Amino acid sequence: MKKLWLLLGVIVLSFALVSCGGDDGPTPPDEKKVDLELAETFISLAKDKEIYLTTVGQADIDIVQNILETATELIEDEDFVRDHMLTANEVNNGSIVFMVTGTSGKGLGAASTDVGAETNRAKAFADKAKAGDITLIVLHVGGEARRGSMSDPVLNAACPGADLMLVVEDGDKDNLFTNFNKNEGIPLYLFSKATKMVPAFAKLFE
Amino acid sequence: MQLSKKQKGILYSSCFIILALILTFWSGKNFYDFAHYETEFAIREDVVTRIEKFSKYSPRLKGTVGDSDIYVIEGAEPGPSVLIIGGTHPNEPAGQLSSTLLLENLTVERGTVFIITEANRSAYTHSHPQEASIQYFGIETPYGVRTFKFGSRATNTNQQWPNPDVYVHRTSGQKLSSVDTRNLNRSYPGSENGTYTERVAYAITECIRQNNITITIDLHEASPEYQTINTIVSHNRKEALKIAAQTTLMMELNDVNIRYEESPQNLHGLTHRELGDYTDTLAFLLETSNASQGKIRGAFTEELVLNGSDKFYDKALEKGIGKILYAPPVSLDERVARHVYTIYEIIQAYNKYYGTEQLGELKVNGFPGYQDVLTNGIGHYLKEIKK
Repeated sequence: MKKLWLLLGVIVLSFALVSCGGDDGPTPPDEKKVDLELAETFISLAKDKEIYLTTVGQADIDIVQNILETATELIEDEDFVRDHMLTANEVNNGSIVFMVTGTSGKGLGAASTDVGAETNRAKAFADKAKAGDITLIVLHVGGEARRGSMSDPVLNAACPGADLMLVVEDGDKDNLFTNFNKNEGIPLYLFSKATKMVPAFAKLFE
Repeated sequence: MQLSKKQKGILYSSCFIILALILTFWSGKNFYDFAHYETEFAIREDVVTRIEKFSKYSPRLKGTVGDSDIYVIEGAEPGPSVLIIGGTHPNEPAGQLSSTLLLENLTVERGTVFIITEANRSAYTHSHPQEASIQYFGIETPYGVRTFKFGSRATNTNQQWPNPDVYVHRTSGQKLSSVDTRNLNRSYPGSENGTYTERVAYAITECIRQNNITITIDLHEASPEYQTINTIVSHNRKEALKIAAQTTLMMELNDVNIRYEESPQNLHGLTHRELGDYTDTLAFLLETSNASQGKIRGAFTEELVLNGSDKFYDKALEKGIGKILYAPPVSLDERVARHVYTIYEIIQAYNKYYGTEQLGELKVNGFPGYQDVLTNGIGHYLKEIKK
């Protein structure tokens, strides 16, 4: 009888482990849900906050600015601050920072910076967000072209502090963002194209 | 008759000398014919307002091979203007083909379109040593095959020689590789009395400055393993970056993958840097993926230029080592379709953001759609050359 109970226990435990394992592992690409509406939690997240737009990796900031302006009709310098080289120290507590990630070699050259300095800048923002001083939205719109050895150190520094990640799915082929979502509980929304982010931005400012 | 040893020697030597002369003449004629072959363009007399010469802006080019044409199409109403530069590097054929297609199809309602199809004509008079490239390629059109030249990246040494040990860019003092002294896209803003290539660059810079050209788009290609392909490189002026970003978004929306990059301020001599710095134009440079420039390509054939297909690139992709490629090689039709569509979206983006300002909108018609060029081929849009 004792053996029977033990056997039953092993079977139940195995099922439980299999179920847990399914949740912990990276989501296969075909199961990823894209272009979903933002959950209620994020509606008006940016409203009445000081808004900053920056890039770590010096790429794609103009794309996100175009999306932001299309979605919200906010005006640079009047309604939000755009600064390529914004540092965490320059941001007041209670602000929201839109951080565009992904690295461009030409962009680094244009800004006279490098991957190491950009990684440190990203980490400082992530630390400030983890401390609850700012809200950090990490964006990745450049797809696979903005992944790899130049981009990933910056992403790995930025994502742990994010309150929300908005990502074009092509940049998550290896599940880097999905794993931050699964393992660290950071909310992730995937989009098929950058233009599909417009409604999400509108919700943030609703 | 028995020939003596000395007579045999004279006979054999004479035969070899005659053979060498024949080969020299044949190869010399080949080089001569290629250098003097004039690519023809269909000029619609009812549409093209005027044809200017580079020497109007850079007088020392007058009477030389580098005195290229600038085709001007003016709308009924004045407005903003765009300069489309093809043929900076004659080994990047999508640039010339795109500018030719636009020359032969666009009409302008408002504003002005300037088109250059052979920016560096000297570079069209030779091909790059040791590349074994083809000299000509043909495009099928409803009126027969149109012949285009496949030239070199650099100015012919007949016009500019020798190369210095180190090329020092004139206005920035930046040191560049020796061969870049003959590279038009390392010579901007150029100089009226500089090297031959600098004089060509000066003509283009002055054309932009004197005509106050609003937008300049320089058409290029690069090898599939070069990072900056399927890319818009934009001068860092705020308005230019806004247009580049909007163009990227619109192209992505229509399933044409492209990205934009900001021109580094420490990389000198290029259009996207110097034309934006030395004139008021919004400067862009476009790149596509051209297998014939690649390092792992096989034999250089017309097929390679037209279809972009190469068994070594195919094998690289098949074996999974294609990760070194930033974009797979594609046909000339796709590369031209991409350039033409990008130019269209740049103009739309300009109109969206700045069309309400003093100059108003630039209204240009006749752009074939991206899918249309892919479906019909470039030749469908090239016009008949009337003698």
